[in-house]
Amino acid sequence: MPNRLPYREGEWIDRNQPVTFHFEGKPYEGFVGDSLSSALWGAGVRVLGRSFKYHRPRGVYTLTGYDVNCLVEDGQRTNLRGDILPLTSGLDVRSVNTQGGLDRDRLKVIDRFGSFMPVGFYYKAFHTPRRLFSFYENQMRKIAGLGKINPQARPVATPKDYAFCDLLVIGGGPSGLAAATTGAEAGLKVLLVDEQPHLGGSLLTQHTHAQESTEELKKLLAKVDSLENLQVRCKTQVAGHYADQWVALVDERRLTKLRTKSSIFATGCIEQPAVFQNNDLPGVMLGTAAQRLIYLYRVAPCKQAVILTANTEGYRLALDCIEAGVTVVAVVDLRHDGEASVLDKEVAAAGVEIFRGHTIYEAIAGSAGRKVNGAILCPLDGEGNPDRMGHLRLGCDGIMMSVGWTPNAGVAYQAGVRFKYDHSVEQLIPHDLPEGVFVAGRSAGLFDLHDQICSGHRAGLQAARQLGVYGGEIPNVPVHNGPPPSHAYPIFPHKGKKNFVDLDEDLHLIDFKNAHQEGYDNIELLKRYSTVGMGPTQGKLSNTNAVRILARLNQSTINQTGTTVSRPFHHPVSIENLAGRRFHPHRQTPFEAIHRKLCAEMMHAGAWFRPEYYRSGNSSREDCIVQEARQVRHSVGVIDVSTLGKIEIFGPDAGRFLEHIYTGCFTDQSIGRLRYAIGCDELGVIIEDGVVARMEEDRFYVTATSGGAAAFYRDLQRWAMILRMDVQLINLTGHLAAINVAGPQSRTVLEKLTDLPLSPTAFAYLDVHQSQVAEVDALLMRVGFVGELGFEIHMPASHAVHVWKRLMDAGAAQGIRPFGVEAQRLLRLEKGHLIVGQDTDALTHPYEVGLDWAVNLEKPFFVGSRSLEILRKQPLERTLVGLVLSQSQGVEECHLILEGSDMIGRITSVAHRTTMGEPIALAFLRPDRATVGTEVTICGSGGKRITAHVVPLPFYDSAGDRQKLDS
Amino acid sequence: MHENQHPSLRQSPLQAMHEEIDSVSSARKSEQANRLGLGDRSLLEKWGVRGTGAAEWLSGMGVNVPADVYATGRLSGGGLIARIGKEEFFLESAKCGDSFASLRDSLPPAASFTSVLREDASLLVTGSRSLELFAQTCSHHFESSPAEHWIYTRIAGVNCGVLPHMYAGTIEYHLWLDPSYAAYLWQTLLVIATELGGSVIESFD
Repeated sequence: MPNRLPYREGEWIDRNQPVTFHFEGKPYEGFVGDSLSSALWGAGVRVLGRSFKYHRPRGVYTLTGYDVNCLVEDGQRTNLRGDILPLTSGLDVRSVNTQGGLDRDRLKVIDRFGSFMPVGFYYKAFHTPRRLFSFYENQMRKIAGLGKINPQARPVATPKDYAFCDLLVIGGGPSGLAAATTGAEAGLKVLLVDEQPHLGGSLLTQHTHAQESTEELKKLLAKVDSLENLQVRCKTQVAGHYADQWVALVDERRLTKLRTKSSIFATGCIEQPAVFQNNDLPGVMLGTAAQRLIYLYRVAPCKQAVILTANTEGYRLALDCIEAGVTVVAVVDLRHDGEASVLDKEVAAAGVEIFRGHTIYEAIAGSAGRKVNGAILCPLDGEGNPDRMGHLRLGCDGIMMSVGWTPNAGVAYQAGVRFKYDHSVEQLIPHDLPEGVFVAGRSAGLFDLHDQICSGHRAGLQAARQLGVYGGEIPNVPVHNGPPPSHAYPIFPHKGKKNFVDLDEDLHLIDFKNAHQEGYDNIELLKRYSTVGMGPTQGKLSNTNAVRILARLNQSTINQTGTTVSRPFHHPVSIENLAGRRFHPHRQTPFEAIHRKLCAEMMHAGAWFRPEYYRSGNSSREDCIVQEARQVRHSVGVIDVSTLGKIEIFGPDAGRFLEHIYTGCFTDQSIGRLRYAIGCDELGVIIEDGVVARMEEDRFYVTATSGGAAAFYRDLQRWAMILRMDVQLINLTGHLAAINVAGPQSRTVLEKLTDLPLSPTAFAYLDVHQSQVAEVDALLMRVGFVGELGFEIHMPASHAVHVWKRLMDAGAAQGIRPFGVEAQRLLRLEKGHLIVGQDTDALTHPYEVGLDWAVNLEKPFFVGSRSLEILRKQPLERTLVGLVLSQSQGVEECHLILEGSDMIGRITSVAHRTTMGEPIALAFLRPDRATVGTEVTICGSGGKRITAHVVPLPFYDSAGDRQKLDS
Repeated sequence: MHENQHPSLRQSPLQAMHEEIDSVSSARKSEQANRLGLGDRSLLEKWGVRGTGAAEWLSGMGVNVPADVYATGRLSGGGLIARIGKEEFFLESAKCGDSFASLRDSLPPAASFTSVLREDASLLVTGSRSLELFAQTCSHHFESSPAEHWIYTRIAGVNCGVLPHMYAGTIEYHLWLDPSYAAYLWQTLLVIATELGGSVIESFD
């Protein structure tokens, strides 16, 4: 580790824990506490990645993860930011977006052709000839891009959680610490979050020479430790700030949805780069990156440095470098007046030459662009333009920039904070704060340490007062004094066209001028055309300079130019964090375990699991289904119908209410009788069907389809409120289980378990009775959905397993067996009974499916009545018919029925094998082709034409004798 | 409409889950339960009454009726009564086998209120890490909810009634839900509880 510096208090690395890791297949050494980037830089590696478009070598730039120069993948994960990727033993990563490895990247040749790829070139090229577009697209995606997702990667279930606090403080620097401790001391429950692994912010790297600041940090951290109502979460980013103070927090492990009552943004500033030729070479970095290397990771940023500055921080950086053993070749100050503070003299006293009113015009590349070999300086004229005539060349292996700041305000924007440009600091500062949101510290334009702490303290008190726990005075707002810490326009043109404004997207200065010439003179349009700020860092290093450039091109101010909209997420968030642990609630009937023991093949039915069929020996699925159906036709079978919606309607208006909901009449329904009912929406479309049982004068019990029951119940509740009727709605769907016992032997079996007379006269078709089955209170309904004699037993869910077992025992002599959903569908199809949602669609009204008899338009009102009145007078466009198919294969649901090339119908249900032998189907057909006996042609699987002829419905037992079986 | 008259025939919706568990459950007052415990109390008898006049009738039957919506109280036998709506009450027995038959049978015939079948699954969550379990499954801020006050919320996507309840000096949480969701919710909570060092506990002393 050739570049490591000696131990210093406050360093983040643990020298007692060395770590071996691999980068691009080569082994390196680092320490626990290092990031990948710091460890590589410490090991002397200068090229950490390749750029997005031109594949230019890139090195350490911000060391905060605010650039994507070092993006790596480890086989499982991709696009990991090396700046913030903790070094762990065994880490083995490679750079993304290279062909042939980082050093020998074959795509680096693209850099030579940059002149042929101006901004927006892909909008203008490649669209002709059209047939080659997909080829171009494919090649461009390969060349320009980030990491590749490994589809074989092992999925990781990460937790997601919720958290709550009174006050969220974002940023653990001096102002954030002051705000959090103030809020907590006032009695608020405070959560302090910081992206970094440790608290301290700029106190860790930028105020290191002042004893006062070191003491201040210790004092603040001690206070944080002492406050029980102050919780700290480091390595946690605020990814998004949403309405009503919902905040998304993301750490290495999880996504937290935080609800806070107030927020303080003490997010600090992001140092901004200067724009000069080759400002992206490995070795060119922000001043704060160099300070992070020196103080947090104890790595020398370079051996010989040239510092480009426009503020006090640049001079402090020079002293930091000197202390770290770096030779500072020169300080290049953009300001003609230079530095006013005492630091100017301290730097000069250290033997450093200071060039005032100069800029770095160009960084000189060495080793094929893999490092900095020197810098070309130029004096600046009165307009701030470089005077090339006076250029000067200096040798160095590192260039550090400290020319200005922009508030780290992405999340604050999302919270509703509005910023305006202030020339006293040459940056955006907040001017309009929503209720419960405060900004403190550098992001409020305060650079003096004392001012930052005061503003944090003030924000903490403001939050406490807003939340009603503080009634005292609020101190005045500190104001920045002295020259602006940021340069107004640190951007310098160069004929070489490698002066980058956006390192994410490889955009240089000329790209903006070209875009502007083409008419993109609005910041939002410019963003979309040039893609500035649309890379992974969302313009953290480029947006401010882009606005400056556009403002100058438009000859307007920064405030007139405006800024782009900041949207979540502030930093990239991994998909595994977004996905988190997923909840997929599903429902089980009480018979679930029984079904599985009986080898049921389960299927999803809405939120439920239901047996599709029961496997039997080596029989095929189709064989099993037909066997189950034949058992019902010839003897007796049972099916779990607990998934049916079951709703009780009670109250003096119950009958009238049902008449408003359904198309039929119910006020005249006899107690103890069932009626089939269909419900429509306001357009007259069928949305629900079931049976309505009248239990008492003011009490009804209705069933609904399994998939639609929940929505139907909500609909009932809505209508009960709209109609203001005196009814109680009780959803018993999950509380009651239900079994349908069907088949000619069903009466024989059931008689063994109940005292209720089941004779045809005592218990007629469509009767309902309350009694006991197997000593359990139950509701019994005589129904015939499958076209056979049948009884539906509804009982409390907790007793259902007992009843099932008794039924199976009682029916053993008859060979009773369960049947699944598929057999039920086959049986009802043979009987011609439709299933809402399968044989109807989002346009089907009752007249199309032969349910005219279920609609009573004489009633004053029901949902959909007005539409049905209109529909009744119109000729039908389609009608549901029965078809017998000419062959047993090749027709599936939704296959079209054709007449020539015209579509005249569609299959809604089909059964290739039936208990009757013939393949049959239900289909919508144009009425003029729906006459019994008509032959039609179906466009079957693979386009094969299959004939069928229309037959009367039902296919089975047209007289209905079987379901009313009286013997 | 249907009421249970045969406690011995009843089965918890989690019966199959319990049969699959091979580890021995810890006691309700164990160290395990103090950390994080998940118990099944579904076999407790439940009953509901709903409609205009229900509160007056219950009072007349000697039941201590909670005055406010979402307030709860104790029945003379130690069971629970919760006012879950303006005119809706939920009752749960203190022990398995206790019944509300006498109340149910006393319902007047043409009353403006009605008996409600309640077959809810009921779960118990105990221990100091309960809130961490809820933090991963529910958006409700339980810390701000007073004890013995009914809460309607969603846990892992399932609608639940929740009651923070003081038991032997510590807070525990009772959950009620549609029994058809019981197996799903139990499995979901148990996975997370296990990650947090919790396990299944006995639900009764």
